Order: sequence, then structure tokens, then C-alpha cells
Amino acid sequence: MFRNIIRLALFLVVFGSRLPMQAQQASPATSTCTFTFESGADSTFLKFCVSTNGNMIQVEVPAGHTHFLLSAEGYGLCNETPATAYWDYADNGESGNWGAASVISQTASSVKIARTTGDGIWTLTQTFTLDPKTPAVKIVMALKNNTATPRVAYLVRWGDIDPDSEVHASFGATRNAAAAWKFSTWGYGLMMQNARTSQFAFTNGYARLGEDGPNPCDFAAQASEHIIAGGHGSLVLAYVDTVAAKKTRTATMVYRGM
Amino acid sequence: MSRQIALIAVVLAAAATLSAQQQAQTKTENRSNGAYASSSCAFTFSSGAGASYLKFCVTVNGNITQLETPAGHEHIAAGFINEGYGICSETPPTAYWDYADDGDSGNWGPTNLVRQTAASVKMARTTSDGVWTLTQTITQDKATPAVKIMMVLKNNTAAARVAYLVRYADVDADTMTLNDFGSTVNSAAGWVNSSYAVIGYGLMLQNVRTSHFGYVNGFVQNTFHGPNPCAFAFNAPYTGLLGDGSVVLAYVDSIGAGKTRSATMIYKGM
Repeated sequence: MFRNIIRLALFLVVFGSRLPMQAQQASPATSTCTFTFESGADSTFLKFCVSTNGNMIQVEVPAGHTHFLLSAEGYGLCNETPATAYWDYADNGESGNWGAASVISQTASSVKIARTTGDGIWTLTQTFTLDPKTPAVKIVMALKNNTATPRVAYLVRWGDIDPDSEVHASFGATRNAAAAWKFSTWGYGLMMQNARTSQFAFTNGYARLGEDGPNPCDFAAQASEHIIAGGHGSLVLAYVDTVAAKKTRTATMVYRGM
Repeated sequence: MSRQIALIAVVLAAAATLSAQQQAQTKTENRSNGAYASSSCAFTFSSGAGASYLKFCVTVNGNITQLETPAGHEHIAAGFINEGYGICSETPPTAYWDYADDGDSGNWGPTNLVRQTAASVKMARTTSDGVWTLTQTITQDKATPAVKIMMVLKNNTAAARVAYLVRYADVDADTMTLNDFGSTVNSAAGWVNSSYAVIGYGLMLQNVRTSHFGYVNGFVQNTFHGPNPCAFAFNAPYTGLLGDGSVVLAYVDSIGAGKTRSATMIYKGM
């Protein structure tokens, strides 16, 4: 635990101040639904789609309640030293330093997509699986360090969630989850939650005071200290650890209705 | 949908009418235990390790008075241990509840253990007027992990009756008194914000499956005391809450003579 705190403090001090948010660039970022999955009915209904680059473009749970208005969802990666950020947040832009994504496998309930950074250092392999029982979208993000030296990586999942199509919503986060919801009496919501014991030493959820994706090297910036009620926000789930040379660390998370 | 709206209107109207006269009564009675209220663990379940660890216990009356998930993070057993269930029989308005340390309504019969396995416990309890029987099956779900609660409410009389069925917990996430709270149509949760580095977990009460009740809603309460089941929305703030609050999941519908309706929900870490 102490190690986690030290690690978090270190990156906030060192990188939060010196690494400006990179300008978003024209890119092959896409918000087109390519892989669509669906199960259940009524309150157990779940429908979602994934882009060719591994962004969640649409989530509907339960039936009739969608949670992404702007198709702005995706992943980010920070190589701690030298500080380099990579991200793809669909309609919220991407960093311009990714290679092309490739589909590894596809079934009726899952799709597996791999993408290597333009400098060849990292390969991120994402597997999206429909869990009809919960119901939930399970995302396994396997990050491989392709180089011959160990590297510290920050792996980020981010979503500009408009729960139940509500722009002014509520947002909150724990160390294991982040959630956005349209306040009762009429609303539903969406939670992003770490699942299983993480292979990363540091895991944390954040409710962000803003609708833009985070700089992966400064993922805690704009994090709210308490519940955001009736505001604009977005959600982050962040993982930090050293990835040994040629090795892989895996983070598993779910999107589920609330 | 029109059925749900009608039910909601009924609930809100009833709540407004009853709340003034019953809320004060509730606050007094909730803390004056009947013969049976208890927060002592009688059935304890645990599974997993680390982030997937879940341990909880159930009293002889079907209250969940300890819930730890993940390992080292307790969300109910802190200070006064308040968790349980309530029923409102709409006409004539009669409230029944058992919230463990927060007291019971004094109008329940004893609880009968129906069945016990390594992963579940099933118990039944009838109101002392004989009108309702509530059968609860509380199951350990190792995979999620979660505590699954199935509440089956039977109308024992020869006439159809409208029932409000309530599940409530005084969540003290990570044993902290002051928590963040939020709710939706389908759930209610309390948690410690992740800005606290060492702690920062929470607990969600969520309806699962398509409900047999026409109306389902989650509520945050701006009090740690249990609700009057006949005015379950009375203490709900319009927005979220930072405070010593609690969570409620409420179900409303008519139940035919001699018939049952069931509600299924889970407690899950967050």
C-alpha cells in the first residue's frame, strides 16, 4: 500500500507539472461501430459496440438507456521514462503515435484487438467480451513491453459518459471503480470497475471535472475529491506498475449498468 | 410504463400523506427494538482473496450485519449496525420493519430457518397480524463477487393488497461515517472517494433481473436511520449526498390474494 502511495505521489509531482497535454491530432481515430454485441431483454438487456481501434462506442443497458452521447471512450498509455503519452479516445481524439489496430480473433460474444505504438515499445491487446449473465462488458487489456529493459507504464481507461443520455449527471469514484449516473427517480447509470485482483500494483478510479480525455501521464488531473452532482464529467480507471522486458501485465475491468 | 407511472404517483401521494404522521413515529420506533431485533452474526460466508475477497454474515432474522469486500474493507459493521428490510401494507397503512441495531417495528413473528447450505441461507418470517410472509434467500456469489438476496413476499389474505418492499443499509464505507452517496432507478451506493489514498472503496445495493414488481427505485437517504417503509422516499435528497447517509432499494406493486412477488438484489463492492 505504501508503495502505491509513493508511486502515485511521485508521478503527480514529477510528471503532472512538466508534461503538457498533447494537442489532439487528426488521426485514424474512429467512432464507427464495427463489432456489435447484444443479449438479454428489458432490465437485463445489454447492447454495446466496439470500433476497429478498440473503443467502446455505444453501451445500452437496460433496454432504452444509452450512456455515450459523443462516442468518446478509449484507452491511454504513458511510458514513464522518457515520458511519452499514447491515447485513443475515439471522437475525443488520439495521440497520433499508434500503429494500425489488427483484429486477432472474433466470436459471437467477443473481439480481440491488438495495437502497437508507433515507436514499437508497447503492444496493447484488448479483448472485449459480452457477459450476458451480469450483464456486463468485460475488457481485458494486456500490455506488453516489447523492449529489452523494464519500463513503468500507466494504463488508462477513460469514458465521457452521459448516463441515460444526460449531459448534466452525477459522477463518483473509488479505488476500484468510477461511475456516472442520472440521478434517481428516473435515471440509470454506468459503472467502470476493476475486476479481479489486478496485476498492476496501483489501481484507482477517478471522476473527472471535465469531458476531455486525460493525459495518460497525468491521469489524476481534474479528479474530483467528492461526488460531482449535476455537472459535466468523465470517468477514469488507471493502472500503474513496472512491466519487465518482453513481459506483459494485464488489467481486467467491466462496464456494467447501475 | 403507464402502470409504473401510476404506481409512482400512488407511492408519492401516499408518502406525502403518511410521512408527516409516521416519520416521527418511525424515528422513535426504529430505535426501540421489538422482541427479536439483532445484529449478531448467525451465518457467515467468505470467498476469494485480495480484490475478489467477500465476507458477509446474516442474522437469524435475515439482516446482513457484516460485509467486507475487498479484503480489509468493511462497509456495514461500523458503530450502529443497521441493515434490513421493511414492508408497508398500503391500505390500511401498516409498516413492518427490521433494521438490526436500528430496531424493528415490533409486529413481526419469529423467523424460521428454512434451509442452509455452504453458500446460502433461506429464512421465512410472517408479520404478527398474519397478513404477509417474507421469505429471504441470501446467497454467496463467488464469481462476481456479491451477496445475492431474493425476497419473496406473500400476501396471505383473501384480498389483493398493495405492498411496498424495502431493503435498507446504513452504509459506512470503509468504516467511515461520512461517505459519498448516489442512486439510480436500479441501485443505490455509498463509498469513500478515491482521493483518499489508503481507503476508498464502497458498497452498492442493486436490483438484478427483471423485477416482478412494477415499480423499482433506488434512493439515498440523508440519514443513517432506516426509512418508514410507507414513506421510503421521504429522506431522499434531490441530488447526491456527502454525509452520514444510507441506501434504500424500494419495490411497489399489488399482490393478489394468496400470491407472491419476488425481488432480487445484490450487495456488491465498488
